[in-house]
Amino acid sequence: MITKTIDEKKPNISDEQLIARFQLGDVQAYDILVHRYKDQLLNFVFRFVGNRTDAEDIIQETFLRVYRNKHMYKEIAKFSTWVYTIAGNLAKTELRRRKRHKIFSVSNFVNEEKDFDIPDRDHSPEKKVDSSIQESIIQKAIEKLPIKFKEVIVLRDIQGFAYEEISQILNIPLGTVKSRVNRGRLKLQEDLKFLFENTQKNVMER
Amino acid sequence: MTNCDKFKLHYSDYIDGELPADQCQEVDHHLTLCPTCREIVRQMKIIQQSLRQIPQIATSPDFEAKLKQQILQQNPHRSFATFPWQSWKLPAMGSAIVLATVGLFLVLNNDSGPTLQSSPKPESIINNAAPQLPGKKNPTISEGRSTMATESTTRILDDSLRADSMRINPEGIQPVGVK
Repeated sequence: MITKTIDEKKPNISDEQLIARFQLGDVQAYDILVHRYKDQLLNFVFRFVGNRTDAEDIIQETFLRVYRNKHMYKEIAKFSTWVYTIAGNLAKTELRRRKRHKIFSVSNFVNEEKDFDIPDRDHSPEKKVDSSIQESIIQKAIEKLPIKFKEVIVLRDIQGFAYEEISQILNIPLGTVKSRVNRGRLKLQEDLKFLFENTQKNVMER
Repeated sequence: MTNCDKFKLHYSDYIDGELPADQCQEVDHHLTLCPTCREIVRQMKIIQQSLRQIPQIATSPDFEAKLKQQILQQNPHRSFATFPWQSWKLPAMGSAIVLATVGLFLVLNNDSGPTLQSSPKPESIINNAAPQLPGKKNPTISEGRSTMATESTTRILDDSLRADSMRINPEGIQPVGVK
């Protein structure tokens, strides 16, 4: 594929140079940007909305908007910040739409803090918990987080963004980002602590 | 707020290693004294590690083809074909247009000069006798100039207003009001 070849040949072309070329009409630059960002954006949105098909649709719409509104991008921000902002906003819109249409079961919203139903609860945690937690469990725990915690946890702990860039993507102060990351992590720990119960007992007994 | 709650505000920064040294020492000290908080921090670290190791997914193989199809549907007049010459297409086209314009201008200028000289008109005879004015003569309005020549005066019609405001007679240039 031509796109892959060019991106591999010229990996040093920055995202900002590519979007500038696209703004001048170079569609090939757009292809490279799509190629660079499609998977990482999919992972961001998938962890956010929890459904792969919806996530892929959102990423399609994100790149369509980049194509249509290419002149809206200004070089004052990084391209990654801009494209993540678009994808994040679309993902939040999708979550709000679902909430309106009550796609989630009612029980999920009756007591969001306490009701935490993880079907895989009886698996053997002691085999995994010391190193990593099963993906499906952690995915469900992320989905249960309130949106404001979910977005910062996904960006910081899964995607590895710096606090400053998260602040720009979400357009919230740096201090708020740090506070939300801390509260999000504490909430995850609270929701997943049952996984550690057996190992904790073992540690205590030793 | 209990003592533990106060320290909980900093656990994230503590795990990220972004806590100032003095605060970090305070948290360390608290963790040695409080097994509950120690366990919370341990679990937070494991969860964070698990988040980092979460498997990545990839877009479907036809993702880019679908995207191009959607773009073409929304912009039917646009071609989405990518060509190797596309990166220098625009500058090349711009240069070609500039060169063509300059070339056309030069050819037209060269053509108009000899034509006027080969078939001298009354006003050109008068102009030859008069001192030269800056600016170019406009052959497209020679009809008006010939009328003025019959009145023993002629106007040099130029692109500029200054030339339009002057009349020439064999004795030289005399400024007149703008007609």
